[in-house]
Amino acid sequence: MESLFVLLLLLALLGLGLPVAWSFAGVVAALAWVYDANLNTLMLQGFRSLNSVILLALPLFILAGYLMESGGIAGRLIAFIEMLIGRRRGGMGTAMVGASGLFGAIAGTASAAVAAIGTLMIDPMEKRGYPRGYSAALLGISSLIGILIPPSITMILFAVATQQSVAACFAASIVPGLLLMGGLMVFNRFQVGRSFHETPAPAALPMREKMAITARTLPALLVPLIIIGGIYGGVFTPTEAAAFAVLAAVLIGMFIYRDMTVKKMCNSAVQAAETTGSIVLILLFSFIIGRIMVSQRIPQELTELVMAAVEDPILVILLVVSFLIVVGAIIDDVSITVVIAPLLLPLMVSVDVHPVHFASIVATSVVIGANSPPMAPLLYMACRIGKAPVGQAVMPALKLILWVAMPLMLVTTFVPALSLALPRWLGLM
Amino acid sequence: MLGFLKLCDRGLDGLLRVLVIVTSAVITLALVALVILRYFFDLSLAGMHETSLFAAMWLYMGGAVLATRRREHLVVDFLAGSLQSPRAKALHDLLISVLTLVVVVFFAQWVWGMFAWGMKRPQTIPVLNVPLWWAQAPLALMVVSAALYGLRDLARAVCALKCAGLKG
Amino acid sequence: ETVLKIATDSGAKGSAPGDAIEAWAKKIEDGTQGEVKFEIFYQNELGGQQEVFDLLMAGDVDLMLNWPMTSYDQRISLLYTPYLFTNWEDGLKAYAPDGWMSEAMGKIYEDQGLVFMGAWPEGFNGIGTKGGHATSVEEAAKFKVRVPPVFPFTEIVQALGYQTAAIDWGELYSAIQTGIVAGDGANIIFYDLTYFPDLLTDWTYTRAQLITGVLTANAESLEKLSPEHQEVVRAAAREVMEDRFAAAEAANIADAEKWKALGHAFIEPTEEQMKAMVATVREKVWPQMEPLLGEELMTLVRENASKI
Ligand code: NA
Ligand code: NA
Repeated sequence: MESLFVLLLLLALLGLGLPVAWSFAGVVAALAWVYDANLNTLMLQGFRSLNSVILLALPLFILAGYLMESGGIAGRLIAFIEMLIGRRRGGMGTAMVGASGLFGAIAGTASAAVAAIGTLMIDPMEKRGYPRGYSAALLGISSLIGILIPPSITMILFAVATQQSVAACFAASIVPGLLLMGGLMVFNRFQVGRSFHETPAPAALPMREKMAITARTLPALLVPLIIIGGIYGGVFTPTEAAAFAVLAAVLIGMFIYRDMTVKKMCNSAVQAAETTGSIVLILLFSFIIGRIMVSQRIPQELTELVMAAVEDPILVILLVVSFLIVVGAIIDDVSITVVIAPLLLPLMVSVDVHPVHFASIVATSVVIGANSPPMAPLLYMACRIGKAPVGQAVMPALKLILWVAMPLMLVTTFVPALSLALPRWLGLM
Repeated sequence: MLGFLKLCDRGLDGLLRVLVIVTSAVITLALVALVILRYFFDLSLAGMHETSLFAAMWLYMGGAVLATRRREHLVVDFLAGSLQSPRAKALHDLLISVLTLVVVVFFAQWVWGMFAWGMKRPQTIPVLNVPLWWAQAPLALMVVSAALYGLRDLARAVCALKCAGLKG
Repeated sequence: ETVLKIATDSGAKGSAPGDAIEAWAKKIEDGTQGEVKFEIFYQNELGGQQEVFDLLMAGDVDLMLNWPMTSYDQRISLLYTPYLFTNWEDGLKAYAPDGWMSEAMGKIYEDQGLVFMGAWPEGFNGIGTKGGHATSVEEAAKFKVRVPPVFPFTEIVQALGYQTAAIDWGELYSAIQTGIVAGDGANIIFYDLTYFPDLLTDWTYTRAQLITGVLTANAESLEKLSPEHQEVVRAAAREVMEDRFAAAEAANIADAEKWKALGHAFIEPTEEQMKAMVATVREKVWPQMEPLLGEELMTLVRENASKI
C-alpha cells in the first residue's frame, strides 16, 4: 500500500517537472510524515551514505572526463575509436558498450562507468546521429556490465548478506556480464537505421593519415593504460585510480598536447562540480528513501507477501524474478541486494536454486532496476552527465530493458550453468 | 536592492567556484599522495581518506549550489516541453518554484535536526580529530542557498506571469 | 504490546552474531509473554556500522549487538587497548558482569545514553597474509596489510612491525588479489576465513586484541519499559552473554581447524615470541592511548592487564 503511494507521488512530482532531486526529497518528506521518522537522524543517515570512500570515484571520474575533454585527450581518443570501428554500422554504440565492459573490469560500481564514459562519448555520438536520450539509456544499462564483471561492490554486498563466497559470486556473473555486453552491441546495431540514422561515416582514411592519428593518440591512450596497469599491477584501487586519471588528464593535457590552460582547468573543475553536485543530491535523497523503507520493513513485508503466494517450483522462480523486476522500479539497488535478496534466498534454495546462481540472478535484476523509472538512479545519472532530456531517454531505456536486460535475466535464471560452470571450474564452490 | 542582491549572487558564485576547485584538488592530491607513499615509500599516510571525504562533502554541496543557481538540476521535461503559451510556461514555473520551496522547507527541517542532534551528542571525525559538523556544514549551505534561489525563481515566475498577463 | 527494533552491525542472518540477536529477541518475547516484540535487522540492512550506531544512540534502534564506535566518545577505545588480555581466562573474567572491564565500559556507555548489558566476545584477532607470515618485528616488515581506520589498530599493527595501508573494506578483496596489500590485519580468523579463503594463505595468531561485541540498549528505550520488562531484557542479555562465553573459544578453534583444512598455515607464536610482541606493542601503543582514555582508565589498564 505504502509502496504504491510512494510510486504515485514520485510519478506525480517527476511528471510535473520538479527536479528529480527535489522529487525524491518530496517522497522523503511524505515517508517521514507517514512513518513519523526521527528527524534527528534522517539527514545524518543521508550524510553518512555520502561519506563513503568508494563514492569518491564518482566525482573524480566526472572531473577526469571534463579534463580529458578540455585538455584535448577526449577528442583524440574518439578520433582513434572512429578510425578503428566508427565506419562499421553502429560502431560508436559498440564502442560505448565495449568501453563499459572494459571499465567494468576495473571499477566496482556502475556510477563510475557512467561518469567516465558519459563525459567522453555522448557528445561525439550525437555528432554521428545518435540521439542523446538513446545514448544515455545505452550508457545507463551498459554501465551495469561493471557490476556483473568483477570487481563488483554489488556482488560483495550480496556475498556478505547471504554468507556466500565472494570469489564464487564474482565468477558467477562473468558469463551473464559478457552476454549483456554482446546483447547490447547486437541491439545497438539493429537500432541504427530503425530508431535513428547514423550520419554517413567520413571516407576511409589513407594509411598515412591513419598512422598520424594513431601517433597523436598514443599519449591519450596513456590515461586508460595508467588506470588499467595501475589496478592490475597492484599499485592502486579503483577509487584511487580515479585520482590518477585526473592527474594524468591534467599533465598530459598541459605538457604533451598543450591544449590545457589553467583557465580551462578551472572551468572544467567547476562544470564537473555542478554535474557531481546535482547527481549527489539525487543520490542523497534516494539513499534516505531506501533507509526509511527498510527500517519500516516495507520491502521485507512485500517479500513475505510474495513468498506466501505460490508453491510450484517454476512459478516460484518466475514470481521471484518478476518481483525483483517490479520492486526494482521503486527501490534502490543496494536495498535489493542487501535486504530483499537474502529474504528471498531461502525460498529460492527450497526450489533448488543455488545461492551463487541466485547471486547472478539478483545482479541481472539490478541491471533492470537501476534503469527502470521512476526510481532509476543510473538512467538519471547518465541523462545528467550526457545532458540528455529524461523524456527522450525513457523509451529507449524501456526498449533496452525489454529486448536485452529482461531476456538476459530469464536466460540467467533458467540456465544455471551460465552462472555455475565458471565458479565450479575455478574450484570456488 | 536588486543591484545588491546581484552583487551577493556574483560574490557567492565566485566563492563557490574557488571552493569546488580547491576541494577537487585536495581530493585528488590526497589520494595520489596516499598511493605514492604507499607504493614507493612503503609509508601509510594517516588521514588521507578522511581528508578526501571531508573535502568531498564541500565539493558535493558546493557543486549542488552552483547547479541550483544555474538551474541545472535534472528534470523530467514531458510537461514543460508541451507548454506553448508564455502564460502557461510562467504558471508552470510558478508551480515548480512553489513546490521546490515547500520541499526545501522540509529539507531545512531535516538538516536542522541533524545539527540539533549533533549539539546533543557531538562527534568527531576519526583520525583528523575535528568536530563532525565541519563536514556537515555544507548541507546547511545547500539548504540556505536552495531557499534563496527558490525565492529568486518564484520572483522571476511572478514577474513573467505579470508580463504574460499584460500582453495576453 | 511494544515493538522494539534490534540490530547488529556485524553478521548476516544465520551468522553467530545474527543468531545471537535472534536469541536475545526470542528470550525477551518469551519472558514478557509476547508483550515486547521485535523487528530484527542484520548487517548492512540499516546502513554501515557507523550508521546503525547513530540509530542506536538516537533510539531509532532500541537494542543492538554492536562493535563499539569511537566517534561519540574516544574513551570507548578502552576496548581496543592492545594486549590487555593474552588468554581467554583473563578476558572472560574482565568482561563478566562484575568484571573490571564491564564496570568501566558501563560508566562510559552511561554517559552516552546507552546501557552496557554484557560483552559478546568474538575472539582474539590476528594477521592474515598471503605467501608467508611473520613471527617477529623484523620478519613482519616485508608485509603490507590493511587496517581499519580506527585508533589504535594502525598503531598496533605497525608496532608489530608490519607496514599498514588504509583500504576501504569494499575494495579489500581486489586489493589483496592485485597485490596492493598482502593481507588483512586485525580481524579475527572468522572474517578472513569467510571473505578471503582463496586469497590468503597464512594466519598468524598475534592475539593483540580480544575483539568483542557489546549487547547494548538505548537508555531511553529501556526506561520506557516497565521495571519487570527491563529486568527481562537484562536477564536475557546475561543468558546470551553466558552462552557466548561458553562457546567463543570453541568457535575460534573450529574456525582455525577449517582454515587448516583448506591447506593454509595457522601460526601460533611461541611463548617467547609472544612475550616479545606484547612488550613491544604495550611500550609503543599504551602511551598513545593515555590522552584519549585519561589517567584513571589507564591506571585500570595497567593494574588489570594480563601478566606476561
Ligand atoms: Na566491475
Ligand atoms: Na528502478
